[in-house]
Amino acid sequence: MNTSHNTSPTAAMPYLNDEQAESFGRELDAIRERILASRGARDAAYIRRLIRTQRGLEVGSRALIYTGILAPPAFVLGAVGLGVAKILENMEIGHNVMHGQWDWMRDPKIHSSTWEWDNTCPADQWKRTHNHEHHTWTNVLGKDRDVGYGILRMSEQQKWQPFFLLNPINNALLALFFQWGVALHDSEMDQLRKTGTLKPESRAKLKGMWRKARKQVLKDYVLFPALAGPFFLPVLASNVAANLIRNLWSYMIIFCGHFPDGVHQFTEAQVQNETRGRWYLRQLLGSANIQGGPLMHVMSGNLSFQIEHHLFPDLPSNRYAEIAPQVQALCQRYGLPYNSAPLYRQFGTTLRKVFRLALPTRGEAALA
Amino acid sequence: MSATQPLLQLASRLVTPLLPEDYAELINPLWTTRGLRARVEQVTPETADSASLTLRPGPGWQGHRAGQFVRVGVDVDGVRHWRCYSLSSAPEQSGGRLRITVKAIPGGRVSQHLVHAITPGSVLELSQAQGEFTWPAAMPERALFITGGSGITPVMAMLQSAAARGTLPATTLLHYAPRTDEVILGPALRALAAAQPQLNLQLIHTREGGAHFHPAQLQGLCHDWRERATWSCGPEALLSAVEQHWQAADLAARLTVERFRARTATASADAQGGNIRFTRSGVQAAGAAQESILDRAEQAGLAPAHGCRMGICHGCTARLACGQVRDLRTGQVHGEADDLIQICVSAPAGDIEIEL
Repeated sequence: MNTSHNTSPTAAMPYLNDEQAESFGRELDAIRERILASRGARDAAYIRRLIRTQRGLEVGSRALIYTGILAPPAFVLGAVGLGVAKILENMEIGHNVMHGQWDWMRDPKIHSSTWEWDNTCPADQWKRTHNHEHHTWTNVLGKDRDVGYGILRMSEQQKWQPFFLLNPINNALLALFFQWGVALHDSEMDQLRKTGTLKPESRAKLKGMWRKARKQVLKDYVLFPALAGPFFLPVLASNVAANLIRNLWSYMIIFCGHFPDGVHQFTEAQVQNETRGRWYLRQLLGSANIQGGPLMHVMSGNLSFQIEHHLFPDLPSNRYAEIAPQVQALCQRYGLPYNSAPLYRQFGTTLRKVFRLALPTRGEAALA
Repeated sequence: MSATQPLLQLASRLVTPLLPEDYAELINPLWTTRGLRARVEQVTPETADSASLTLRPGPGWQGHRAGQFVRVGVDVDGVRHWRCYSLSSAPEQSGGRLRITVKAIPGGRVSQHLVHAITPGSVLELSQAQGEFTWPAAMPERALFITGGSGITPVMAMLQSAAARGTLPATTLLHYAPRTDEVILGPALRALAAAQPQLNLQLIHTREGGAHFHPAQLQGLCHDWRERATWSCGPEALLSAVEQHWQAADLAARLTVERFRARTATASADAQGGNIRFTRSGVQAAGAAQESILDRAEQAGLAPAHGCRMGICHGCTARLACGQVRDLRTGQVHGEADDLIQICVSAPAGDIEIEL
C-alpha cells in the first residue's frame, strides 16, 4: 500500500543515512549563517516600505469603497483593494513578523512579541499553534494539527470515518470562513466532535479569541458600514467581499504548503531523538513550493517558498528567493526531492486529495 | 480635549488592531503618541570627529532643562540602537528645536553613524529629557565647571541657558581637550565668554603641553573652588580624579557629576557560562556554558513561557537586562541591554541579568 502513494509516512526516514543527514544539516546551517550575517538596512527598508504600502492601500481602498456611493463600480474596486491589503497584512507582514523574522531590527513596533494582525485570530494563540506546534512538528501525524485541521482527512494515515464523507463540504466551508477556522484552531473545537467535550483550557481560549474577533467584526461589519449612513449595506457587502477574497486566497496558498502530491507525512516514532539534520530533512520533505514571479511571492507572503520558510522560519521572507536556488542545488546533490510546481498543479493535487480521501483508502474499508 | 476623546475612541475602533498613529505616521513620522521621534534638520561639523545635530522633535516633546540628556534611538544597518546624549542647546534659544553634539568614538557604531553618515531629513527615535545635571532652583553665587572632551555639551546648554535669562553667576569653566582645533563647541564657547564677562573660560589642551586635571592645577586656576557649586562631565579618568579630590576635601555634596558613557558589558568571545540573575523573581543561578537559560531557569524552580525549545518559535523571548549571551546554535556572543533574546538557545557569556 505504501508504494501506491508518495504521501505515505516512511518507515525509517528515507534518503539519507545519519552521516549524510548531519552534513546536509551543516550545509543548511551555513546558508542560514550567511543570511544572518548579511541582514541589514536593505532588508529593514523592504519591510518598512511594505508596511507603508500596505497601510496606504488599505486606507485608499476603504476611501474608494465610500466613493462607490457616487460611482458604484468603486465598491468592487475598493473591495478588491481592501482584500489585497488584508492579504499583504496577514501573509507577508503579520505571519512573518510574528515568526520573529524582523525581531533583529529591534524595532518594538515590528516585533514578534507586539504584532497584532488584521484577523480574527489573536496573535498569541496563532504563535502557539503555528510557530510552536506546526513548525516544530511539521507533518507529524498526531502532533501537527495542521494535518487536516481536525476536520479534514488530508492523509491516508488518518483513519477513515464516515464524518470524512463531508471532506469536500468541510473543505469549502473552511475556505470561505478561513479566518474563523484559524481563529478557532487553538481552542481545538474538533474535540467536541471526537470526545463530546472540550479541553479544560478551551473555554479561556475561546474567550480570548472572541475578545479579539469582536473588534474585527465591529470594525468591518458595523462601524465602517455605519459611517456610510444609508449606504450601510453596499459598504458592508464590500467589506464582506474583501474578507472573503483574503480567506479564499490565504486558504489556497496555505493548503498548497503541505498537502500537494509528493509531500511526506511522518509518524511520532520517526521523529524520536530527531537530530537537527533530520529535522531539516523532515521540513524539506514535508513542504511544497509554488512556482511564480515576484507578485506571486509577495502575495503569498513568500509561502511560495514554503520549503525555505520551513527550513528557516525566522529568516526575513524577502531573502527566501535568494536562498531557494541554493537549497534546490543542495537537494540535487544529496538526491533529495524538491517539491516545486505551479499553483494549478499544487492546488489541483490538493483538491484531488480532499475528494479522494473522503472515501476510505483501498484495503481500509474493512476496518472502517 | 474632552471633545476629541470620543473621536479618538472611534478612530481606535476603526483602525484596530493598530493605532491611529500607525496611519498618522504615513503622513508625518513625527506624529506618534506612544513613542517620540525627531527629524534631523541640520548636521553641523564641529571638529574633525564631532558634529552637532539640530533636531525637530515631534509634538509630544515636553521640553527640557539645560543640562539634561535624551536617549536617542538610531537605526544602523537596519538595527536600532539606543544611546544617551546630552542636549547641547538651551531651551531658551531653541525655537522648538533641540541640538545634540556627538563625538565619533573610534569603532563606535552609533556615534560614527551620527557624525559621519546621517543626513538631514532622517528620523530618530527620542526619549523625553532626563537627568538631574542641571542648575538648582536657586542659582549659586559662584559656579565651577570641570569638563573634558564632549563632556562640554550639557555645560554649554547650562551656560547658554543662564546667559539667556541673565542669571549667569560668576563662573569658572575648566575645559580639557587634546588640541586647540579639537575643542567641541569651541567657537560658541569663546563667543559666550566674550559676551559674558563673569564667565572665566580656561581651556587646557592636554596634547599641546597642558596637564591633565590635578589638585595643584585647580588651585592655581580657581583658588576658591571649595566655595563653588561644582559640576563635572567628561571621560571616566577625569571624573574619578575630580570625585576623589572633592571627597578628600569632604565636599562631595557640592559636586554633581554626569557620566556619559553607559554601563556596557561586553563579553569576550570565549566567555563561558556565568551567573544568571532573574530580575523579576529575584532568583540567582550559576549558568553553564552549554546549558540554555531556559533549562537553568526551570531547574531553579521558575516556569518561563516557552515553545519549541529549539529556537524556531520565539515563544520564550525574554528581556536581557545586562550582560551578553552565547547563541548555542552558532556559538556567537551577542546582546545589549534591553535586547529580547531566545532563552531556549542562549547560554550566559559571563554574568547576566534577565527579566524573568
